[in-house]
Amino acid sequence: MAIRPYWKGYLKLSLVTCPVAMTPATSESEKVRFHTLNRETGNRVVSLYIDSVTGKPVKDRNEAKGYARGENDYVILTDDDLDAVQLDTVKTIDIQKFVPSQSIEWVYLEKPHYLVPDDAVGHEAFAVIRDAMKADNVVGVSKLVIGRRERAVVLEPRDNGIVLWSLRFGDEVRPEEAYFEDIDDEAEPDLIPLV
Amino acid sequence: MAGHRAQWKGFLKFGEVTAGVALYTAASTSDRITFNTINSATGNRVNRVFIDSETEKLVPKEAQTKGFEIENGQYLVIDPDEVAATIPESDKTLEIEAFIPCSDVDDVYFDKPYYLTPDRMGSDAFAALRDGMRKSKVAAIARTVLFRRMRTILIRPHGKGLIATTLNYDYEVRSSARAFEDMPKLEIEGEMLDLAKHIISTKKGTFDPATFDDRYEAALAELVKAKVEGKALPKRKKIEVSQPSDLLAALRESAGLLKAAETRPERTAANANAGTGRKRAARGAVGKSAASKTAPQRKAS
Repeated sequence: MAIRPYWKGYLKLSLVTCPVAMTPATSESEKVRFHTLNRETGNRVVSLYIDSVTGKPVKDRNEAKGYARGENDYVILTDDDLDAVQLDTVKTIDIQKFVPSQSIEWVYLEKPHYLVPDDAVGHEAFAVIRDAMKADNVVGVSKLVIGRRERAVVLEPRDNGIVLWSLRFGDEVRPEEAYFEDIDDEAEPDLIPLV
Repeated sequence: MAGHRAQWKGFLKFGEVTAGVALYTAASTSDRITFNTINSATGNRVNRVFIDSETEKLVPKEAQTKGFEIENGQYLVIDPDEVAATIPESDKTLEIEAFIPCSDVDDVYFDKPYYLTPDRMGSDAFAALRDGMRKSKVAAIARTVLFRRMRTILIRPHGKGLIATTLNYDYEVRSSARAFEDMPKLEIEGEMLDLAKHIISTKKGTFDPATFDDRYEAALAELVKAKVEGKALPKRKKIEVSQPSDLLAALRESAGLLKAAETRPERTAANANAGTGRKRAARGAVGKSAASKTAPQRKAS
């Protein structure tokens, strides 16, 4: 089954640009799914939005995203509005830097995605970027807006495609010193096992 | 380690050696911007309530229970005690089952990282295992019941400690082979590959994720301001895609532009950082061929 891409945009290296599609590499879809039931009737429970002032149910088409400007004062933002945010990283993965593969600490890897060309027009350009990274044993570093945050991302060539990792922010990784301070710097040489 | 609560305490076992250890959450999720759901007809906020799908009556919290669907519309109610009974027994031991070279690790399976630390008694054995793994550039695979599920865990040295990463189950990871199957088999070589490698060589550096800043919130605030002031929101510039017939020219031009930028004086410091002899040699060779081919073309344009 083809998986619907959850982001479409462009991959760019200097003056080379190609259309790409991205899908998450992980899913929880096959876990046992529990539903909320009404204990008294055994029926499913569904959620409903009601207007906080009028108390009346809100139609789906009237549900909108509101940015809080003040108390009870919201600016409604449509998806088109949000698309107009002035950051190129909403639509384009511009690779600005290359670093040796394995040089990004694993603890920063947040979520993997698969990146593929989105149109035959980009097959060759995509392959050029992928194969050059492979040949040089490097990974690309860029930025991309994912879920209303602009994240650092790392691009690893893999087989015919590219794995795109979103990275954690500095304040999301706890400082290791606080945990490791009491551990010996070096082991007794005689104790080191052969592994 | 005051202030940090262990998520799990148990033993790390390697052959005949056992050390008392603890796991601490290494990464948390910081907040992203959240929006409120608004009724666009009135501009008021909305509240979420739960109703019975058949009777449409409100279902209070205490009348809600969990169940899963056995067939269409038929649900099996689950008693929390029954769920507890299905949790596998835990022997509180991370027993190392295998060591694998770090380069063989498939990182797509990574779930969550934890700092793994020894207790006072176990610290010699812990440090010995850590240094042995580092020396051999391997990671260890262990299995145990963690947070009520049987989990496979990858352990590797990290600074003075170890990091234990829970691994996703097979069914949680989409196959990369399948994700990439529609790609035609294209292998790039010759001038295109050389040019792309040259572009990469001019962009080589190091990256510390800890220093990265998120600009989204500021950009969103600008957008909201423009909207409130009734200004037209700027349209995104149309992005030009490289056409296959122009790809070689685009690569040549990129390599040429970067070459021009490189000759600026501030380049020296960056270059001294990057510079191995081999890399310089490669760059020189490619640069020459790129320059000779690009120059007339750029003059023409």
